[in-house]
Amino acid sequence: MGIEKDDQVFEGLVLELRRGTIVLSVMSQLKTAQYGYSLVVLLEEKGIAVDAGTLYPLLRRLEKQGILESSWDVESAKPRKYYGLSDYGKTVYKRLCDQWVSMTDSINALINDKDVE
Amino acid sequence: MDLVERYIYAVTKRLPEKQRGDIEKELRSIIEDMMEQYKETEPKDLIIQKVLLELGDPVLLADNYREAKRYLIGPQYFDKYMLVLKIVFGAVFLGISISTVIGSIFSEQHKIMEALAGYIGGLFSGLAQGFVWVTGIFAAAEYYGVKLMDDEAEKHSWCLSELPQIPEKKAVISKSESIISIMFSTIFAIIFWSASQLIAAYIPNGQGGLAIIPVFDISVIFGYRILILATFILSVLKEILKLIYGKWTLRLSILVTALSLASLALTVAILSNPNIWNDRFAADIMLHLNLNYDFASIWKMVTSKVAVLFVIAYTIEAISVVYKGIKYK
Repeated sequence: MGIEKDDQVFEGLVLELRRGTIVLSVMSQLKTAQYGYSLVVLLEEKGIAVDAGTLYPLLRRLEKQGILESSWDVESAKPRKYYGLSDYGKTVYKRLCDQWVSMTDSINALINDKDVE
Repeated sequence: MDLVERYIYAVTKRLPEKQRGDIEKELRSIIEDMMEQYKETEPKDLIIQKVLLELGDPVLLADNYREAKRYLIGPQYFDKYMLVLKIVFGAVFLGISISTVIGSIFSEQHKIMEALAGYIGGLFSGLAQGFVWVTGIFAAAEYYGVKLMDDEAEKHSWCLSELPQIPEKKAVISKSESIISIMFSTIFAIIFWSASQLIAAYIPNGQGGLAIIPVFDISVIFGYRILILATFILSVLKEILKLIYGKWTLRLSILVTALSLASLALTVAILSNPNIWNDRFAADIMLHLNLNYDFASIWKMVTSKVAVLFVIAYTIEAISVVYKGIKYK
């Protein structure tokens, strides 16, 4: 297998791994409402790069599921749609965080266990 | 700003009507926000290009907004769709080729170019019709099938008893039987549709030629061609269902029986008109074969009882189908 193909497979796996974490990353930054672009900037500053074409549709989907609430800010010069966690979203976020911690604990244990070879 | 408008249009035109307005507004503000990260000194056109490239392919973006994938014919039906399409194409090709060859052998004048043009035209329209029918039937199956499964998934969670039984050997429907059946139906329908005069008795006329005595009255049978086409579609539909199910079940047997009954009704409706038969058939046969017994009255009895034969044949089929459906359900 050539190096190029090797890299492609690796990139694909990384992408898949990251996809599962996007929702949690996004929710973590929405305790105070943000508009789309400010959220991208926030995440980037903290080292999480999110594809713009994925993020905006995701926000709408989470809103439809009742996790996020949105409102149009028409006061300022430029109208912007702000997204923030709903009450339901806040409880879901807490539970997801617990899941994340226990999952990473388990996986860390798995990874460190098999350091041989 | 022209590029921005075109980009937004490229996304929203792929979305359901009621979502368009809101997403359009949102996209516009997102693009403006994204533009602000670049220095004012850069040319605006360049900034717009960079921003839109960052947002990515509008088709993918619209897909992400829409979530559910839409198919005309989805992966679950696609293999079977291709199979049936190949069969129908093969049958159309064979049917038109056969009827053209037979037709040109027995035609009075031999104009090769005309025959060739007719052949190509016939092939083209035949294949196009086949394609439209098969695609339409499968698209409908996809449309209603998918919905059906969603409903079932909502009703209850899956349990072990839902696992399908491994079919008994005898319950498995032979694919080749359905394929052959579709081929013959197609050939038969094409001959009926385009060259019903070829369904005839071919008798040497003693001078090296052939006397062709059509079985049907061409002008009367022509009036029934929509009904004949409908019978054909029903029988192909029946075979497609058998191919999709792959084994006998109670539901399949009920569907197949219903389709059989419908096509029997159409067949009997056509046969109930005594004028479809060529009324000179018996007399011409007697003339050419020098028969010395009363062929005409035998022929008359046969033609008047054909409908009964169809009823008997269909009844036997229906009984065996229902029997299989109950036995292997």
